[in-house]
Amino acid sequence: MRLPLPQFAAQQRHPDHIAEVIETSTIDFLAQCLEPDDLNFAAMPPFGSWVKSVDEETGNQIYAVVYYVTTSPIDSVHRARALGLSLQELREQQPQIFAMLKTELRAAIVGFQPCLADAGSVLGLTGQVFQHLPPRPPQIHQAVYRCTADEVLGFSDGLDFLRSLLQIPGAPVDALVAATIRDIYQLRKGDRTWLVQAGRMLNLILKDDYDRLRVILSQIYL
Amino acid sequence: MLDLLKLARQLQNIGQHLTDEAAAARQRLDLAQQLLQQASDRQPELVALQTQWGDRLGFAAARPVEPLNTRISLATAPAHHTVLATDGSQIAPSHHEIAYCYLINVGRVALHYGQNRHPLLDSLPEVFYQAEDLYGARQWGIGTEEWMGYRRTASEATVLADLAQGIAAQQTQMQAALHASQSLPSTGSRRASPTSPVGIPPATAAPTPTLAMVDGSLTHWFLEPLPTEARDRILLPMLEAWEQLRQLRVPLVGYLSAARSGEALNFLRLHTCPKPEPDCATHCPGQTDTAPCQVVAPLRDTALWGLVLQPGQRSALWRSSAKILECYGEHRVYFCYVHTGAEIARLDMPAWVAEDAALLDMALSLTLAQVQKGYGYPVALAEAHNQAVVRGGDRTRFFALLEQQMIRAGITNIGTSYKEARKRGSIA
Repeated sequence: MRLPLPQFAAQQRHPDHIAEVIETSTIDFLAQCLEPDDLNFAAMPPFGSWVKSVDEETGNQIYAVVYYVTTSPIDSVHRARALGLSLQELREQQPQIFAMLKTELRAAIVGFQPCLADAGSVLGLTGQVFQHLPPRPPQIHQAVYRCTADEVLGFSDGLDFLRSLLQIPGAPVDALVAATIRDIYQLRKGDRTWLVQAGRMLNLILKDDYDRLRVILSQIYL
Repeated sequence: MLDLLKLARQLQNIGQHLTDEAAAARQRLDLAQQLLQQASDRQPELVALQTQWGDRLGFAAARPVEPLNTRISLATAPAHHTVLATDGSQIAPSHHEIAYCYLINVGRVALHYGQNRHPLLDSLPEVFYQAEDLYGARQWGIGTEEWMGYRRTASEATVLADLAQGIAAQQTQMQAALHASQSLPSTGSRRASPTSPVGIPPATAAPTPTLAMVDGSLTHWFLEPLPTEARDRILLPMLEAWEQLRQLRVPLVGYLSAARSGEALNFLRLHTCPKPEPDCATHCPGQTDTAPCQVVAPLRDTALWGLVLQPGQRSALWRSSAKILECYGEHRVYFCYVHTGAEIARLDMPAWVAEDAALLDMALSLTLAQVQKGYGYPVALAEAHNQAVVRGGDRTRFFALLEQQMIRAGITNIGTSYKEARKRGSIA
């Protein structure tokens, strides 16, 4: 009745499958990053990067922006200590350390793409993207994927999500908006028209707060 | 509630007592060192005496199988090796709880060094609730809680052997895969370089050196007074597991931190014995602890070897002579002391490890490496313990789950005893 050892042959995981939802709420979710197959720290998605997950009940593909990442010990017994070893030395001499740490990300939900059962396409997704909160967040234990460039480009055709980003409680929202716009601007290969639209949108949202606008805009470059 | 004010008065006396003790211990230590020197000069004679009078001795004295003054510096462990360990923990049965049952949780750990592989760290819980598990041992006069402790020991051994089997299978599999990729020069050489990180050494025919560790002694003296039937239920599965390790050529080491044993010092009592022959039963009947040969008690072995050994050295190998070991067959326990740098540890190992020089060297150097990597205590054992340990919260959750299950099964009147209820929440 004892369980067999985890199999050596690693199960085939989608390369963009980076994390799993471990806490979920209407406005954001917490996900734990998956451990890589080799001895390494879990890949930490960049601040302001795009991830997606699914609410299986409705089939909605939910888009979110990473606004907080942390690596910490798995429990209160283990505490990270400065051992003075390089990463390679740690791998060889203290491999258990890699199992004692967990990397978590928090992502703010900014929109979703509904699924139609008779859509006919493989994914069953309609083309339409809504930039408001979905009826339900992704369920717990759902896979979290990195968004592809096409998805980010498609989503950022609309700019209402900037407002959602600026309203996330407890997040460094100015830096987050700046990072998001900067990444998309780079992804769009310096599409000036889009950038001007985004700047106008920010101008509207921030109203008279020119100082904040100036700081955000100063952080956007190619 | 502990009244610290009242306690403080008593602590002064303890301090005085401990100071006196320390002075006495220093004298005993000097004496023991002299005795060790003298005894090593007439070691063959003493061993002959022990062999001749062994069954008449009133104390358990280990037999040295190497010169008494042996001090061997241990080799450095290879960078590429694997260490396995298990440790157990339990939820004890209580009549005050909602159900009378117990749980054994065995933590298991496999750490792969220099192989760029993720460690295995998990635990295997097993719950016992059948009448036979709970009351079966009563027929031998063994209480449920005591029996649970014995079963835990057996489980730790079987899980360790299973783990070794699994890891060995994985290693063969990996080596086969590596060989396969190397034998295809066109794709292999191209693909091997980016995927195989720096840590992985080239595939070799030699198997990865692997060590199995358990916490505590391998000599389970507590089994000695048990009736044969009860003893066999524990000992046989354990020895079977050890046999499995032997087949796999994975040495087993029991690591004792702060060991209290005086088994090696007891050998010196053969030297200090003032009687014509060490026939305790005739000359000193019923006074093994107050006998005239007992000159250094209550000194521990570790204290003496702390003086003798340098960091990284091991003492002579000793053959333990506890009575229970007669049932161990080929797995009779040997031990030695190792100065780990942090403390003097006692390492127990079965005969097949002690008698195989290559296996012994490997086991000792890997153990020493474990202590160094763990800053004073083997990493694998510390983590196995962390995996096994059942904390107060876990215990509560276990009983909460059990309660749900009982309610679902339609059992009424579930609840802890009134005593337990008042302990958890009292009235102000």
